[in-house]
Amino acid sequence: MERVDFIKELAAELSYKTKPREIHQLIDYYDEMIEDLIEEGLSEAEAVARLGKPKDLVKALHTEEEIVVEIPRRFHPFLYVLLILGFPLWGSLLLAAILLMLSVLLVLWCGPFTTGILGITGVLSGIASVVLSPLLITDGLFLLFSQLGVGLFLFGFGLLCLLATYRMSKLFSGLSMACILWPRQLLTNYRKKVI
Amino acid sequence: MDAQLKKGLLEVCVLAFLQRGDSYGYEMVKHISPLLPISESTLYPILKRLEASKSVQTYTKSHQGRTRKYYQITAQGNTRITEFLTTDWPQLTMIHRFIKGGV
Amino acid sequence: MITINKKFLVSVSLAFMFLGLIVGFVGFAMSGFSVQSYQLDERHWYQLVNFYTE
Repeated sequence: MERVDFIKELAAELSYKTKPREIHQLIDYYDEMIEDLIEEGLSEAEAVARLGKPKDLVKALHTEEEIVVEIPRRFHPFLYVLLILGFPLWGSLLLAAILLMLSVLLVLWCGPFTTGILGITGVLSGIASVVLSPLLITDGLFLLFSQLGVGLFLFGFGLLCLLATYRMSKLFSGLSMACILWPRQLLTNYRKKVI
Repeated sequence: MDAQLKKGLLEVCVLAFLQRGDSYGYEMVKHISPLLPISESTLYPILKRLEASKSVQTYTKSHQGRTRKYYQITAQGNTRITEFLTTDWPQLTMIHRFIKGGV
Repeated sequence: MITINKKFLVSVSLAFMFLGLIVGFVGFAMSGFSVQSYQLDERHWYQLVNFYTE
């Protein structure tokens, strides 16, 4: 098999099973390995043959992954009674907590929302100003330059805002996901343990 | 040798090899195989685990027009080796005596 | 991809802003630093830059 085919097959085997970053690392590793083997004197076909078939490699890698086991939680029936009786208390507290968390998230997301809008308007008005500025040549060169300058500035500013939006939303989406999904594990009847 | 036993020992072996100097993937396979047979695919998860436990860190160096990923042992890695030599190994000798005693 | 592009994009956008400031300042200077000269009688649809003092 040729090296390119090997890498392609490896990538294909992994494509929906592993995270893109991990796939990238794996490909880099095997690519480097093949090149080192070739440097040692093996031919490309021999190097690829030595590594084994991509399908087998992927299978072996999956058995290496840590196995998460679900242990059933023991729930005393008395706890259920308490839970039901005390619902008015913990129910309202829980509701308050959830609403508080949601409002914090809302305020947080105002940040990227603002920069996002600023970014889009900046970029669009910037482009519009720059594109339309030549039309001002009859009204006066100074107008042309002013509009061009403002346009360029707005465009750059818009770009920065969009970048900030992108970074902020990446940061916040991870946080938001964690906030939303975290209670799920507490509520299940199982607890996960890693082997 | 039993695969599970080998897996545990390979990690320390790789660390010990790196203690002698930084190295890259293939070099590790080449030098450790005579001692403990290891394939390229077996080495990969070991390196990943070592990196995750911060026992090694990596850097890239260019070599003949391409980049190579080099692995370097950390202080944590050195601790792991000392741990093996002072804690795990005596335990292993005890287990060895126990197994032999049954014969 | 993220590290290379981000730093590059930041410097590019800052360059745009800086360039824009200079060009705009040149334009303002060409008008003789007069705010009045921007307020033309015939405001064309493509004149997007104005000093609003009204």
